[in-house]
Amino acid sequence: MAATPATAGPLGFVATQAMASVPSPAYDDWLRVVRRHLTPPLCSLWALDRLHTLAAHLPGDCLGALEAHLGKRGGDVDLSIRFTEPGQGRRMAEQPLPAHLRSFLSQWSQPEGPFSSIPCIWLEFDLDRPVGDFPVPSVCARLPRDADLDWIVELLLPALHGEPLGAAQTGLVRRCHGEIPEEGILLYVFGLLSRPGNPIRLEIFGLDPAGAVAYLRRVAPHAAPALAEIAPIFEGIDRPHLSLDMGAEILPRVGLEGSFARQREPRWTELLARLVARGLCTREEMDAILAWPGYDTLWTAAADWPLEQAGVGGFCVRSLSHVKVVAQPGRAPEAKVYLLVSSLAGAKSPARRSVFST
Amino acid sequence: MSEELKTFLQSLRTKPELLEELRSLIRDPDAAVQWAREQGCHLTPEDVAELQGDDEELSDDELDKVAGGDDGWPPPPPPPGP
Repeated sequence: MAATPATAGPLGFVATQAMASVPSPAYDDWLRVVRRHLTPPLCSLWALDRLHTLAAHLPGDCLGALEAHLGKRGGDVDLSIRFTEPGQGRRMAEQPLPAHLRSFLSQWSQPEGPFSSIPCIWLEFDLDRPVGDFPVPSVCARLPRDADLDWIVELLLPALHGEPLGAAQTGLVRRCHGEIPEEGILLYVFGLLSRPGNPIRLEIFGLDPAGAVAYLRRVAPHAAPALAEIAPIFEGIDRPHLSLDMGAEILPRVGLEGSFARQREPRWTELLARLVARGLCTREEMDAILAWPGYDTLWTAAADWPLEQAGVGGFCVRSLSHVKVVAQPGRAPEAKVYLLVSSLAGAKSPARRSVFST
Repeated sequence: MSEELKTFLQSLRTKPELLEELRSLIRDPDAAVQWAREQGCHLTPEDVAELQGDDEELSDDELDKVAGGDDGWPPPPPPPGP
């Protein structure tokens, strides 16, 4: 079934379109397997309903991340999905997405295309409103090693953004890139299509919390104090990320995030306890997050296992991705946790190896 | 997967105690075939072998790899989020 062209409406949703069918199993089939874990306080009933509605139109062979808001917005959950294979991008380009995004996905899927060096792409769907139609996602590209700055500014970001960057935005990207210290690297760039003003985002990997604050003092001093407030939460993190958004100027809302290489280790508890101590996460949410890692099989989740679509073998894996805290001057920080759900072929399946590549 | 096996598993979806009993028998194909027959299903040894091959566990290392990727550079990052 072919999708018809789409444009975003004033609320960021695409007007009613014919959605393309997705290969079986759909991502929703895997969410059904884990639904007994998707309960309050991490996921409200209405959030679960919206996840199911959207995930029915997303492919089941992709890794997905459930973005669970913590604390005051506890129970709200958004959904991101990762594409690593050209075929996944081609199929997604058939969905009623904005025209420039479908074009980008198609070009990424072409072996000789300008974006074929990008290892993976994420689409991120905000689900803070009913999912009657296909919401406009934000789009994120992981940069290849040694990505050329001109390529980023002149080709990639316009493709994600839907139009060439303005002179001010171009200058900001170049300046922010140039100021990244040796220990950091620009790892992801985004087109935040679902956000007011259609900003872009840079995500820098490898700066420790103090380094992130120092960097921000150089490029966006107005946002640095708020980041300095939350930076101690991430002391000792394995994989620090700093994200900053920009329109004609760098926006005051910045994010710091981090994770650990191992799923089961005490530093997750320590990190979450720091969120609890600051009132950014409840004790119940912390307990639910720590209980998240694990997996199901036909034998442990028979009633919900997609037997017809996926057969008897393999796993439905739940894992922790990372914690993020967003800071903005004059506002209370907000915390989120990213919970991964993915299918994994059984050990004897030839598909098993490909799952472990990004 | 044979139709017989698929139908049988479908019938056991809402009967976790029977499913667990089948799982406990799949290392002994003859016993599993006999037990299934008593439940009204004619499984073959090949059906049981398929179930046995798919009854696996996932190590913590494999769980970590699913979460982080395994491509070496840069250090496996978390996925992004708005």
